[in-house]
Order: sequence, then structure tokens, then C-alpha cells
Amino acid sequence: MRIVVIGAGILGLSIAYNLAKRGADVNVIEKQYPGSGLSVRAIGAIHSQWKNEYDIKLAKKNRDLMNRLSSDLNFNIPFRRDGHLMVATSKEQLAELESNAKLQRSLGVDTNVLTPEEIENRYPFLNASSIVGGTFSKGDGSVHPFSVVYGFWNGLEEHGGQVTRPTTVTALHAKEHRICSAETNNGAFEADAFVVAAGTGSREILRSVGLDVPTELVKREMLATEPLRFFLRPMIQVYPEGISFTQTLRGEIVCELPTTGEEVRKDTSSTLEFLEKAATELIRFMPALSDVKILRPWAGLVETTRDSEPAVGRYVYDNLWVAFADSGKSVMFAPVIGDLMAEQIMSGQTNPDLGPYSPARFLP
Amino acid sequence: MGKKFVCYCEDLTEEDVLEAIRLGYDDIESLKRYAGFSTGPCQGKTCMLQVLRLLATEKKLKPSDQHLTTQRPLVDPVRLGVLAGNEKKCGL
Repeated sequence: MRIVVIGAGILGLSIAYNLAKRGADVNVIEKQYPGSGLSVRAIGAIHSQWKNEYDIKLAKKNRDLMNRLSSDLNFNIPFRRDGHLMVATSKEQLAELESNAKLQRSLGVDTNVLTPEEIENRYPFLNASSIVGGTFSKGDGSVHPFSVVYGFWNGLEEHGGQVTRPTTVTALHAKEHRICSAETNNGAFEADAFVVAAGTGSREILRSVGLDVPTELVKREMLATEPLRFFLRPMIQVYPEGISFTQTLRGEIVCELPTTGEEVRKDTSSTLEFLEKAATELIRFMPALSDVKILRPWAGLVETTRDSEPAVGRYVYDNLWVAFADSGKSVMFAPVIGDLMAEQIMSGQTNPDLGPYSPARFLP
Repeated sequence: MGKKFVCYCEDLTEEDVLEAIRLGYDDIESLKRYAGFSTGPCQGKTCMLQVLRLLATEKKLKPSDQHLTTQRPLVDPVRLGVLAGNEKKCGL
């Protein structure tokens, strides 16, 4: 089976690797460089503390896959199971976290509710004065996203697949119920099946065959400080939309925040507003960071849908599959989405675990 | 034999960079993320041109065919306390 995957991001490469492993002949077409959209911009949180049952189930499977990804790919992927701490700064938010934790525990995820005192005792560097409580799952953690991108890329090539780059897909061509080729600036590529995993470029490609998925772009900005002695184990996230931060294995403190407001340019430029806000928030939760220097900020565009879930699955044409509209989940769920999608594409059977993410929910 | 360092922040030698290029990380963006040059305190001011030179030589490209990775603020590292507005004196 010949398969063309459009986009060598973390999702495209995970799907491509899993297809190649199952014996498919896979060619990934990449416009820039592997991971060039959002994949290499994430700070790498991997957690299972979701509010929907299907997200929690998928996250749990994903965590198992992530745990053995290094050995599966024979590539060094530093997934740190140092836990993920979600903290609430209001009673309402805490009530939500507590009810989410209850659901997570009923599905076999080890989430515990922590009081501000427990949080301060565990993490003495944290100033918990504005924290009313939180939830913690020990099996969650964080990963260096580049290593996952490069691990899948390497694994794909070891199974005979390839990444064709830099090559831009300009349109798909359909004949009745099937896609027959992808047109590029380097000629047309024919295949038995096509996967559109082109991140924010996906909608334009789908429009060439009369399809669309309504999405919105949210700008997120990140920063890294100078490296410090290792002290900050878990990923800490201010629930629901506040700052997320952790320390990398290189010692840098990294953090991420959405940049919102009417004036925000939807691009990957860095803003002074972000630097000021991120600095204020980091010092609010870790006052000792005041003297630590920022080395660099960066930014990425997250594409979301109306239900904040990605679009993953078969879409209208018999041999057309999509995986995009990240919604903050592509790095988080790349191993499991790649595994289940490859299984679906090879067998033609849809998997109920991916059902809620099907793009068919956007059809009129 | 001495070592030829191209990136002092991340301790990278010419040989490290050439090995990464031979492994297939052969565009400046992938090379930066795999090898780690330009991610330390100098943010590429010391190493970027050295790496471009190695990439151009190894891939037989003209340096002018290449591009730099995105240059971001800050020019030099700045303390969080300064950006949070907690300090009057803007010392680095």
C-alpha cells in the first residue's frame, strides 16, 4: 500500500512511522523541515488530567506508549515521569479539578487532590499563597518534543519510508470517491491513501477537494531561561488557561502562556507583553526566579475547533485521512494517534477510541 | 589533535556538527534543534556563521543559499525581575 502523508510534524511523522512499521510504503511531504509548525515549539507536557472520558482513556493509552517509545524507536526520548500538577486559584476551578480527578481515578489514572499546604510541602520553592488547591498525577510528565519528532523520523526511515523536503503540496485531486494524487511544486504524487497532517496549512489543502473544518488560531508564546541546577520536577499548570512551566533536563526553566486580545497578530513573532506577563507570573509562583535571566522567547500558533478537540480520522473520501487542528493535543497525543490511525488506515476499520475526534462532526 | 569548538555555550565541536549533518539533520533549523547550537547564552551570535559554513561546505551549497534561524529578542539575557517591573535599575 502506497501512502502519502502531507506534513512532517509530530502527528504526520507518528502516523507515517506506524504505517511503515505495518509494511506500508510511506512518503511524507514536508514544506519546510520536520516539526516546523507547532511540534518543535511545544514545551512538552504529557498529561492525562482531562475532563472528558474519551480524552482520559486516550491519554492513558498514550502514556503507556510514551513510556516505551525510546525502546520502540531505538532512539533516546527523554520522557520524564515527574508528574503534572494542575493548580487552581479559585474555589470554582478547584471544584472542577476535583470532579475531573474523580472521573480520572474511576478510569484508572492516579490523580490525587492536594491542598495548598501539601503543595508547599512538596515543592518548597513554590509560593502557594494564591493557590487554593490542585490535582497531581505521578505518571504524567514531560518530554523533549524535538526528540519525539526526530525519533519518529528516524524510525520511519529505518522502516523504508522517507521525508520529501522541502516540497509544498498545492492541491489534492479527486476522482469520484477517491483522492488520486497530490499536486506539489515538484510534480504530482500518486498513492493508494492520503493523510493530511499539515497543521495550519491543512485547511487550504482540503479546500482543493471541496472540504473544510472550521478552526480558529490561538497564539501561544514560550520562553526559556538560563540553565539552573535541577530542582523543578513536575510540569506545573495554572488551571485552566494560565501559565504552564517546568525545568528541562538542560536546566532551563521553560514556560508557556496564551497571548490573547483583539490586537494580537496571529503569527509567530515574540511580544514584549508576553515577556512582561510571563516574568510576572513566574515570579508570582516562584519568587526566587527574580534574578534568573531569560535567554529567549518563541511563539507558535495553536489551531482549535469549536469543541477544542483535534480533527482526526477519515474524511468524506474513501482514502482520505486527516489529523490536524491540534487543540493543544498533538505533542500530547502523538504516539497514540499515530498508532490508532495507522491501524485504521491499514484495516479500513474505524477505531471507537478515535470516534470523538472524527472530522465528520463538522459536516453540515 | 586539538578540538575545534564552534559553539562554546553548548560545547559543540566541528566534528559534532558534521556528524549531525551526516545523520540527516542537514538544514539549519533541524541542525540547530538536534545539535543545540545557538540555544545558549549567546543565542547564535558566536556559532551561527560557523555552522552555516560547515553546512555549506558539507552540502556543497553557497552560504548565500542558506538562511539564519529566526532571530528573537532579547539581544542579551535579561533578568525576570526587570521584565516584571520590580526593579528600577535596568542592569543586565
